[in-house]
Amino acid sequence: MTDAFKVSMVGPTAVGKTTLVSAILDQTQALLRGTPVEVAADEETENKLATHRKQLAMALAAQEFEPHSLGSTQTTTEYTLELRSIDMAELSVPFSVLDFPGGWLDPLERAGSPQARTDWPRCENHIRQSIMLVVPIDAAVLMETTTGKERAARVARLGLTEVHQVVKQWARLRNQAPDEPAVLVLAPLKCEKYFSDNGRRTGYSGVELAKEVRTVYADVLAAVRDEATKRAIRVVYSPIDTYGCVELSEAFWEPAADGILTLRATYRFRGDPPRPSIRAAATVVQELCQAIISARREQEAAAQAATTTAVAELTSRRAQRKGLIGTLTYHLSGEAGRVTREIESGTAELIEIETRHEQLAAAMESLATRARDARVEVW
Amino acid sequence: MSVTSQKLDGVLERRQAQLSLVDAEIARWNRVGEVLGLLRAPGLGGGLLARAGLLDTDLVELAGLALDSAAALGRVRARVRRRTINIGVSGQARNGKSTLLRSLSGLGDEQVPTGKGRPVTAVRSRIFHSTDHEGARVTTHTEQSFLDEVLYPYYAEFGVVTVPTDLAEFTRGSDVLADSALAAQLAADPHNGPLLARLREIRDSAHTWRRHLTGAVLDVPLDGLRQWVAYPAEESVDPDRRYLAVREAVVHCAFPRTDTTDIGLIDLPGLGELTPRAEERHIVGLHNDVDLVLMVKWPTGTNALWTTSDAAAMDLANKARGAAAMRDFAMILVNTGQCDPENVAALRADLTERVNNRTDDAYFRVLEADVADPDAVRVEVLDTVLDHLADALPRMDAAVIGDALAQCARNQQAIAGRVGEALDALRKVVTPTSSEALHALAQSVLAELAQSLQAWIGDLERQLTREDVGDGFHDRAAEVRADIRAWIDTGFGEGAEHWQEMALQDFRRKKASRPFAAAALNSVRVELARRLAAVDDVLLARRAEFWSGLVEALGRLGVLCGAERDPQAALNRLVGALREIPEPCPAMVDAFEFVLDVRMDFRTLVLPDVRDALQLLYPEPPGEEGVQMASLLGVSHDAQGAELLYKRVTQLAKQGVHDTGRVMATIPERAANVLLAFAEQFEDGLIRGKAAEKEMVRVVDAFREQMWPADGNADLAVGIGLQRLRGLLAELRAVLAEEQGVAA
Repeated sequence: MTDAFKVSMVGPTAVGKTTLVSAILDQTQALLRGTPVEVAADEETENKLATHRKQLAMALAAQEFEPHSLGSTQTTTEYTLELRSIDMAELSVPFSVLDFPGGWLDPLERAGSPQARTDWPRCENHIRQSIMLVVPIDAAVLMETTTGKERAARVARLGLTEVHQVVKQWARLRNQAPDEPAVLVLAPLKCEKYFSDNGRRTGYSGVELAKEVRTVYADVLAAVRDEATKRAIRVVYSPIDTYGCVELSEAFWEPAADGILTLRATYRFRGDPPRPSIRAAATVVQELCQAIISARREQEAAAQAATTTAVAELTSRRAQRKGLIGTLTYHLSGEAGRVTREIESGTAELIEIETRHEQLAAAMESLATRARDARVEVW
Repeated sequence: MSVTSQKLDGVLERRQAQLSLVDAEIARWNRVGEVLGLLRAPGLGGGLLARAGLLDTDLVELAGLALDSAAALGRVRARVRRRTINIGVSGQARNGKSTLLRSLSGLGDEQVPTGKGRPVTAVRSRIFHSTDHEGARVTTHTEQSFLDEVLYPYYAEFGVVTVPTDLAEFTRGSDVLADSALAAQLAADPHNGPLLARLREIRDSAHTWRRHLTGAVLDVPLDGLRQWVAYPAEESVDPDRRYLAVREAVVHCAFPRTDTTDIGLIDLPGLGELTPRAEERHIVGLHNDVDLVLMVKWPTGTNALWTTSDAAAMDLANKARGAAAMRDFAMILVNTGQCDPENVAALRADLTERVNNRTDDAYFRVLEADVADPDAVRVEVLDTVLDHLADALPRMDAAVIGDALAQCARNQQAIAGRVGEALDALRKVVTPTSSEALHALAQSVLAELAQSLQAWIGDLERQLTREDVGDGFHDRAAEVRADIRAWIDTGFGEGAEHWQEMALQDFRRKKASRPFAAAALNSVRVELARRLAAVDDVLLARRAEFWSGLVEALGRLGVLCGAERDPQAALNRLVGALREIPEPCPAMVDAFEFVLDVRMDFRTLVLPDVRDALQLLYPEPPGEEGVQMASLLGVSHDAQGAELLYKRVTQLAKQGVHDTGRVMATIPERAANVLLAFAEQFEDGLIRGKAAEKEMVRVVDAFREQMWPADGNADLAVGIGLQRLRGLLAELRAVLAEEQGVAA
């Protein structure tokens, strides 16, 4: 696969990032139902998701839900997803989502970790090119505090310092590419308890969660404003029900080995059998599509020119480094399909490729313009 | 129902409507008496009373007026509490009273014995018409009431001071009865001789009546009543005198010839009977029980003319009628049975001439009937009496009530006048302070108060933002939640295994799991809300702290809290002191009562939100939630199902505890806001209310000695004594002003 649109993800360990990717995939697939376009993961990502899904299925069967049992990532993880034509797999729009520990921004911490020293250059490059930064937030850690000590511990458990640094760094880097999109997604996860719109009146309306995110992430939001001096960054608040069928039952702040309180939460299934009902996860893909399409329109003239370029030029271009503009042109103009097909079958199928390309573009357009989940807010 | 009956029913209804008002008035006069008693209490001292221009004898006199009012109202009460129209039957013995009662009531010789020769009626019954109940109820004396009401009156008649202390002493015969000399003297007295003989009869027959002195109420069949109410036959060797043990006899039976439901016949005791205090008992009967008295006169032989005894009997009725007109209250019934018509005519003429001042029925209406003829009695006596009462009772009631009210009004005026004079005198006791000086003092107190109260409010405001202010509460709330979780973990107090066994039994009995699950959730929900209230102790302590801060901020005014350590008691005492000021301070009292009314319990602050949080535990919520809940509560009807249900109910219960935690966490802030709001409102009312300065002047005037004590404790004690005296007099004045609306 050629260059993908890049997304970075930064959040504390065990917040449920794999679950989030799985939910994004599932809900986007549901939105594409009935179209000739699908969303898929590459093999490596699919393997990770399959393991995760197996664990979830076992939990559902056992009627015992323990989110930490679903495993968590300690190092960098790259998830690769793509939107693609169902019968012309090479005609696709790929996204690469990199999850990395926020602490690696600190040179001292990197120095102490061989893994960090190895992976950091790649991470840095990925962050620089990311058109979207996703910040997953553990909604329970955010909301289940009562005392001053618990509120103090929450800062550590949400990884606020690291998140703040990453956001600041990313926003600054985005200044270097003022023509490219930049979307920050604040994504509280496991929000079932804090909304009353997904199967149960919980006593919360969602307003409380939004208020808490604005308060606790005030510095992060300020960093976005302050650092992005040469461009605008779109901030999207998307509270996600990653399951929809589980609900926080109890939560206790307990002392942990590092001397800071940590939240131990227990969850229960809302019904038997549990029926998943994901909310707002597809926002990530919708926002990506919208960012890409907007960027493409701005580059339309260049893209138009690219469609008339000679086959030989196309062939040579396949190996070229493209940057975002190149990626846009390459994938969204249909060039990617034409490059592949022309090399193999000449110009005879150009019309069909054009059709498939239009379908893919239409699907992206549809995803981008489709109404967001009612919970989603643009801040 | 006849017009007469309707009118009589109306009378009874109007009486009932008055009863509660009369009771309230009696209570008011009793309170007047109590306060007058408190004024005589040793704590106040004669010196203080004298400064108020009152002597102890004045207070005794005023208390007598209060008693007089209560007694007058007591007579009204005796009248309006009656639920029947009562006809009293009076007259000398052997004139046909019992025969008349039998004709009216349909009772026979077993219940209302009659006889020739000596009298046979030993106990006077009260006989009530009843169509649904027939029988007699006999109330017996206790030993003490027998001594007080039966024996001692004999000794009183004899003028003997030393009386037997108990029945054993009486029956041993070791007293006056054993003193032969005295006995001879008493026997020689024509008045006391028969009484002495009667007393000996009583003593000698003790074995027949003493065992009945139990104070019991006995239901006696009508055919067995005679032995309880009649004298024994003359010829009895060992006469049964159990009638002596009877304190009261009430008979219910269906009167044969009346359509009036609520009617009673009262056989009045006394006249001419060989018992002590006969007249007194007669009058008490007339007062309390009778709406109209029928004086029966049988003109036989030498009894044909109106005698002085008859006149004396009518005089008793005259005394008892109160404010009612005599013509309304009493009638003379000439018993014409087995009489020479000439005798009847002679009596008729005599009554016209000597009783009615030559005008028929001028003062006493005269009826004639053969009392042994029930039909004649019905037409000539009962119908006539009832027709008369239907018209006369309203005016009799009005006259009696009006008379009592007028008497009370006179007494009230007399007492209020003296109280007013005393209060005026007290006002002059303290060296009068000029109006300007009082205003200056009041303003200085208000200024001090404003400053200290604002500091107190400032503290309360700071508590709103202090992070640690709720820590004590959160700790307690966490303890309570931990206790509740422990209760859940022990199978909701049943033990997990037992809970599951009960579940299983219920599944099998009902072939369904949801009924048990629903009942379990309901009881858990109720129990959770109940157990969460255990945080109240912290909240109440917070409130006490709030009041304590207020008491400290009161400065000079805090003197009125006395030495009370408990802040609530201290503030209540202050309110009590403010209430006792002769010139009222309603706004200030309101302000303090308002701040004392602050509610700080769990229920008031958060119960509605807690109920919302516990919605989770409703077994059948509407919509999609209901489907989810049903799926959780529907389990297999075996041990595994019971275990699964236990797990789920436990999980839901724990979530309920957790969810309420969020609401509970808001309590410290809510409480702080409530306290601040109460404090601000209180301060505003006390310092800046419309009447604030005017009332503070009154407070300063009344409590100057306490607020600015000049010469130590002695003055303070006098000041407090004066204030107490003022307070009592003010209360007396207030009680006197609280008149109830009894209508004549």
